[in-house]
Amino acid sequence: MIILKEILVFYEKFVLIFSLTYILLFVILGITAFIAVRRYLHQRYFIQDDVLLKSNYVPGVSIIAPAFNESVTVVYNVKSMLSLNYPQFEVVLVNDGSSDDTLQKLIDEFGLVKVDFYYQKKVFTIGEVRGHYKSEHAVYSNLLVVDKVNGKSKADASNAGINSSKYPLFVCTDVDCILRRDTLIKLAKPFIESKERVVATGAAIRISNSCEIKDGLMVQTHFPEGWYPRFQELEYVRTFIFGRMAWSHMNSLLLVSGGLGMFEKEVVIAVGGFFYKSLGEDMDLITRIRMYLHEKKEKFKIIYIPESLCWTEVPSTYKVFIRQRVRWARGLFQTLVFYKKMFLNPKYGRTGLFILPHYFLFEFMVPIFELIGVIMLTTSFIFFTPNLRWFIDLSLAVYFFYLLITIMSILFDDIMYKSYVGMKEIGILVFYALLEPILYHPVNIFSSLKGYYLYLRNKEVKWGNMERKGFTTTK
Amino acid sequence: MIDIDEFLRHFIIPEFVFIFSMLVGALFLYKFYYDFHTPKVKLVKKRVDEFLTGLILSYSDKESIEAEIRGFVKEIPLHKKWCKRVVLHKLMFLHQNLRGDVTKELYYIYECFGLYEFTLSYLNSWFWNTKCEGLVQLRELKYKIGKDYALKYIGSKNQTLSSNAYLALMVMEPDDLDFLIDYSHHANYAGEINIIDFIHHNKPPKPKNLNEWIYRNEVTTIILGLKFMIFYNFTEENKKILELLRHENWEVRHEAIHAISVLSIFEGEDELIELFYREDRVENKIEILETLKSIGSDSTKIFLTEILNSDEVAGIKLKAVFCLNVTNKTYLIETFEGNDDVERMIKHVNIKYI
Repeated sequence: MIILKEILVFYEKFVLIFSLTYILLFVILGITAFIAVRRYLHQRYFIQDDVLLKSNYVPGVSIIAPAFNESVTVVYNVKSMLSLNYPQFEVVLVNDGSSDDTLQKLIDEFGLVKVDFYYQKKVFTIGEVRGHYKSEHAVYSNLLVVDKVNGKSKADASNAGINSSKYPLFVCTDVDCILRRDTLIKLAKPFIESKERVVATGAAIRISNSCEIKDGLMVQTHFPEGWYPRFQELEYVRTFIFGRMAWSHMNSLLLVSGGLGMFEKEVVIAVGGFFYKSLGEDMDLITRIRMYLHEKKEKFKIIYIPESLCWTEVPSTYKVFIRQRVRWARGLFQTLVFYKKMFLNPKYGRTGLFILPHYFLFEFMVPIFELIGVIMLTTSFIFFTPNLRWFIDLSLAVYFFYLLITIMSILFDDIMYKSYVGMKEIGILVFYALLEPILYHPVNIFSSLKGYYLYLRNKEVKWGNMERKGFTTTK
Repeated sequence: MIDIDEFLRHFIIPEFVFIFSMLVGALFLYKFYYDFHTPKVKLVKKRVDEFLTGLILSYSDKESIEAEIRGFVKEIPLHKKWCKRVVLHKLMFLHQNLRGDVTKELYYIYECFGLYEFTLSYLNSWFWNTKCEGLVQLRELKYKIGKDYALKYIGSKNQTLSSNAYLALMVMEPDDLDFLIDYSHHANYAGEINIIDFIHHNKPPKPKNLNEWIYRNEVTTIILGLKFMIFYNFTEENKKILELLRHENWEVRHEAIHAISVLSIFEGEDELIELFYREDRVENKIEILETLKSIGSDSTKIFLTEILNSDEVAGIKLKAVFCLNVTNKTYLIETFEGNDDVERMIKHVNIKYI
């Protein structure tokens, strides 16, 4: 009993120190994010978008969009991508062995014909490429459809897209994503402006559930309906506005979302493209790029821009949500295991000494600490008389800190982007923010723990089988 | 533990609750202000649009313009910064879209509204980004009176400010771009794009010292010089351009290769073929092949055949097929008949939809 008591006291102290460190880290991140956003907004006077739009000197961009059974939205989404504003770009849609009529819909809508494309396998792919399709209509001349056998991963489909693309930069996106018209300019700008080598850029992703879309273009953003999408809205705002901007400012981004990221093709080919076995291919790629460039002792930047450029449909049911988060958790676990040699290794600079330890301690371990916390608390209630007052006070402090971060992110977001229409939507957001730590956070923790467990059991994972509802289409 | 508990209970938690309430309040207040303010701004914008368009098209004399503006400022909250910005942006829009003498009237209107003083308040600000905004205003209006401010910030250590000052000066003094020879240490690729965009759209006279630019040590000056030479079809320094193929900086070599193509420097063919073998940048190898497509002769044919029979990477070979397909299609088909890989490349380059 005495030993048990000592363990409980030790854990209590540990949680206190850990929480304080966590809070301190978030305060630093908050200040850094604020500085970074200010700097970004001031930088807009350097080169204007319309100058880039008219220029022959901007690097070409290939948009790579893998599609697996996306028949409901694929036509709209391709149209959305084709309507982007940029001097030279192509859309490379990879049909990853869809079992529905995704390819047929594309053939019918865009007048596609099979062509004798000279396919170069610059990065490894598993699924064999069955053919390339181009449109007979000049208006769709920048569309290339790659038809391949399913390689059981988005990474494999993306690699086939990289092999088929022709421009030095490429954007990786999901086919269900709706992109803002100036997405390519905004993402390419850091590559053009920076004196240092930029290898990847990313931007904020927002939720498209309930938004109005016409011909693949966003007409009106709406606050999402339903519990899960609304909680995810809060989570996305917090992550993209608050976290990533700060990490970018410290040149320490380890994740450029699979939903929207622009990459230098040369470096991606040099590291072997996306890893087909990866469960979190976006994080894996950035980590591998970092490892490669650190080993080559080259200076580089990975930049995040505080603009909402992409809208994506998020899981709206418990089942689909859990499946997505379990996959993310497994991806995190896998990345940390794969790149453990970088961990605390000075050879890998800030990635080894700062970024990976942070991900390990404050991302990977948090669900485990919380689980241990619940066990400790239960034990304490069963065998001892716990200090309830202390427990409630600590919980309240953490709860309100969590709320502060969320509300600050919403305020930041609303000042910059005016994403929400009217006071009602703000009211709903605040209400959901109050509930989020109690209702949503435990589900997230459960998914992460399940993901870790499944990773340890080495169970096979499938990607992209999300049931899509399609969009509200305006006339 | 008790002390920390007390600290949490009496300081941290109330503090957090207070900040939380403040933030929620600010969120609602901001939304309320925005919803309340936006229709007002829209209304002012509409009135400013109507007034300025009417004023410009009425071709009135200076006295009438002044009188009308005096009357109009009573109808809008011109003392507010946002309102001044609305008027200024409309004037900038009109200046960009109107041609001829009417721009002189625009300057007069700009002064009558007291907007030059407003621009000066930007230019004299403590903050570099505000100064940049002032320079953008001068640039958009091509308001030469503000030239001294552009000159003042040209030497700034802040790259964005200096770049904006250079651009403003270029726009205000387009007839004398000789000063750009000193731009190099401030410029990056984005700066070059800005300058090239300006010369493409305004077609100013060629700088008198252009022939000196490619003799400078600064990489940016050389690259800009080559770009200007391409734009002005300047062929007096072809020999020096060929020498630049041996420059240590790959971007300079790249621009020199491009210049050989656009300026059709046929004597560069052998030099380019030589360079291909020692060049380590794929971009430059591809640019060489692209250039040989337009200036190549029999030597190019032999060279490309060598490339296609070598162990070069597929991307380079594909470009070589593109090149040979344009310069000597029959030769390409006959020579590589039976070579499966090259035949597939030939099929690729002949896809009519690519």
